[in-house]
Amino acid sequence: MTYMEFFGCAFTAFGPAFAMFYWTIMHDPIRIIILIASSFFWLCSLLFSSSLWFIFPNKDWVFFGVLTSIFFQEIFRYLVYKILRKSEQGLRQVTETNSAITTSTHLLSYVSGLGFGIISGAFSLVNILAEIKGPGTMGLHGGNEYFCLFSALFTMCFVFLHTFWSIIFFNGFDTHNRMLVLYVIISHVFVSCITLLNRDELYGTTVSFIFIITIISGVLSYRIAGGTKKSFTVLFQFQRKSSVNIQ
Amino acid sequence: MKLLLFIICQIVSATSTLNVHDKMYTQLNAVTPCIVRLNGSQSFGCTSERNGNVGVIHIVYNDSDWKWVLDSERTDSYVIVLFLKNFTLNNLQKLNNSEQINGVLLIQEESNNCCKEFSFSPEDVCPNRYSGLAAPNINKEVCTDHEPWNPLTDFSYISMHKWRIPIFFSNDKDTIMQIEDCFRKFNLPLSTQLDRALCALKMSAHMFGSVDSTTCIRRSSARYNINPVRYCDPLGDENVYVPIIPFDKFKNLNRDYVIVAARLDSTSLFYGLASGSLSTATSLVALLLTANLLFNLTQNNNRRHFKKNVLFILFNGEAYDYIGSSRVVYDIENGQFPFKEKPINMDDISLFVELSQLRNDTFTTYHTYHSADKNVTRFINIFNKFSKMRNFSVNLNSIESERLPPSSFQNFIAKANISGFIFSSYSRVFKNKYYHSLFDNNANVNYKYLNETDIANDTLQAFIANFATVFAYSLFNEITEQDADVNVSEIISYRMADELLHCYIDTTDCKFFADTGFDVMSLLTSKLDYYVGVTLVRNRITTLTKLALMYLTGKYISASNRDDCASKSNMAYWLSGTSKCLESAVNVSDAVSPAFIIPEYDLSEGKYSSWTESSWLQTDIRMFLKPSSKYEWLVFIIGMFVISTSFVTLFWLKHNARELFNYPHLITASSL
Repeated sequence: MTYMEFFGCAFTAFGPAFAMFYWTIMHDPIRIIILIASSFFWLCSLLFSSSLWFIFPNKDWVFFGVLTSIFFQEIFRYLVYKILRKSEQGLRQVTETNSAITTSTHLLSYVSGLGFGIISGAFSLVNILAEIKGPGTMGLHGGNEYFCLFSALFTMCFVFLHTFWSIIFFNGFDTHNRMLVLYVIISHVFVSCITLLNRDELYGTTVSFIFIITIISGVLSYRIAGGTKKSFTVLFQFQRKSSVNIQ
Repeated sequence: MKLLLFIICQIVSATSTLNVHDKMYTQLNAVTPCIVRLNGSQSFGCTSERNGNVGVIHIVYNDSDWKWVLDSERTDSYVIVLFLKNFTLNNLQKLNNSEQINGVLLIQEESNNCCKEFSFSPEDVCPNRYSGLAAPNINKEVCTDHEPWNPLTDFSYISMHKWRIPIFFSNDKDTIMQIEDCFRKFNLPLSTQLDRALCALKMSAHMFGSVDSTTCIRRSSARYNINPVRYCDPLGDENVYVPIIPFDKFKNLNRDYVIVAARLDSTSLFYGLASGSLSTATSLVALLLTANLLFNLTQNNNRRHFKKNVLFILFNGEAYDYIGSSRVVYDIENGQFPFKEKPINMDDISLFVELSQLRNDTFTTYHTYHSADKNVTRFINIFNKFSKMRNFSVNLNSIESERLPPSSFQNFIAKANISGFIFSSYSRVFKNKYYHSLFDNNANVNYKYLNETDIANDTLQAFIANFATVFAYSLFNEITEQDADVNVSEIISYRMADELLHCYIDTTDCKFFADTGFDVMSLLTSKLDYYVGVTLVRNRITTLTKLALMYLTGKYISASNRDDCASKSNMAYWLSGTSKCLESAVNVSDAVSPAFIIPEYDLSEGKYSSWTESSWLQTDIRMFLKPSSKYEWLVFIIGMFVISTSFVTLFWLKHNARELFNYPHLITASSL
């Protein structure tokens, strides 16, 4: 019976990531390679930040742990950017001439961002998933009954956020727009720090804050990727028209 | 602004908290499981499923709670928490037959008057029903259901069943409070349980052994099992014995022996809680004190006067079809007891006296098999004479019957016509209300440690001291066959009896064991457990008793160090505590049933004890909240909604990517 809770949380957290993988990554080996490579880079950042945390004298200062972790994540995001840009030439040679991966720069950032998101989501939720498969649920020693559901929602948001951040971040360096890079770092710090409030079970507050940041980042990356308000509305009109045509 | 400041403060001051697992589960440590034991024909006790049994807590306080357990239609599985008054065989059987009951927890706080109103003995009404004189090859009727030794109560036979569900016990105040709090907070009121997460327990006590000893030992053998897993191990330990004259110095032609026996073990339904105060401890202490006084009396006499020797034996594993005594009888028959070089024969035993459940009651009964012969009569006369001399008002009551109480003596009388009797506080039926149960404690024998204060004449201490004194003088008279030394100067003091009883009834972390001078500090923990256990492990109580007997029947010889001590005598022991050298004839013999040493013996034969104890990996109870099915469905539906929406959305996005992101026309939708 408790497996229902497990699957509910797992689908909530990784459902969007899986759908993105299924529709946009899976059919192209190059994208899979880039996805895995960027996950590896996130793991490296985890290694560094946890090593630092290990020697950190005061384990009560979680806030500083969060800051170092963000610092390393962004450093490695930059490294991914550097390497991808360096290997662009090589990528072009091994792919078909028409492939979007070489013609659209944002696709590279999207794929690597998704890699970041999936692996960080996996690491933040896997412990909780492992626990909720057992007979028990949260709530014996305080703790919210919906803890696991909220954790899944946070994870889902973080998968989205990492994807959007990568698109914005890469574009910031491409166009030498420091404001975009700064936005990524600041929103990352903000969102991560907001999650520290979960200790006080202010899930409603934190979830709404994170949703807002996710939507802002989403819109920003949509704009960067070439979307406009017009194209968005046009699409709906187009759809309406086509449905009329069919009739 | 204030809110923002508050939030920032909260974030910066955030400290690491408990991990998820610790927030979800509470380990209940002070719980004791009922385990599985097997004999030649079946298995007994309790086991859980391999991964433990989960059930929502339901505490039965009164009759309506009990009714709710059995009547109402529920969907969940339950763990029933019972107090002693509801822990009856009948109730357990009902729970065991109900599919929805997944476990039972007995809680009873330790207090002296908790259980006075009950007679809690989960043992068979005929202990060791199929052994001793009742063994299939001898087949004498010593106990029947109509005329049982252990009186029939609502709790009888609980140990004699195989339960489908795990049964645990806790007497720990904090554990009981935790369970009750959790139950009240989450599970009450009972009518709205469907809507909430409920407080539940997971009981893990999976027992590997099943079917019977034969099957389980066969499964453990290497031929059928590549893993070195043992499913069960034979029960057994060591018998402790001491001759009052060392075997090699006893050169009398007749070589007659008087055997004084008591048992060294007890048992209980729950593992590790065998507190056999009346079943074991009082008789054991009486034997130790008698041995001590008799040893002191014989020191001043020329050994040539001794016509007989006295052999004090403490049999181990007697609760499980007389493991210890049946092995000693087997060894005697094979000429191997105490050793091959100087064996004792059955004919050498001129008198056998067993001490069983002694207590300061109005009567002390001596049971003989059929009628008392002249050896017994003579000994009883001497005993009466000395008790008058000591002003020890013991009323000896005689029972001469074919119906011999459960005793080690049965194994001896079954082989040879040995004169002997059993000293006991009961006559027709046990007076022990808690035979082989965890409540057989100090309250059961009205014992209170008086720690060097004045001890009254009507206490247990006084009774045991007087009994040992009179018994020792009677034995002295028996072996010397002379009426000398009638002035009864040397006696066992009440204080000494008090100290020993304290060790054997209250705690092994006591003055007497520490004073013996052996290096026993590692053995001195307060836990007192008379359960015989498996042969692979030496019992603490056996080791301590061996050392105590050495101390009580040994004499110091001069030696400067450990090596010097060892060279003086092969019976010398160096006491590192007091730096002295002690010479004592105390020895041990294996208390392993002959069933496990005779090659190709068929364990189902029933001639010898074939008890084994199942092995297990872990036994514990975890408490946690079990989510309501409503909540589980909610989470599951949200998950399904999220994943299906994302698939549809992403498909739509991909399909319209060109329009959405204003891609150049050379990129087709399929390449995205």
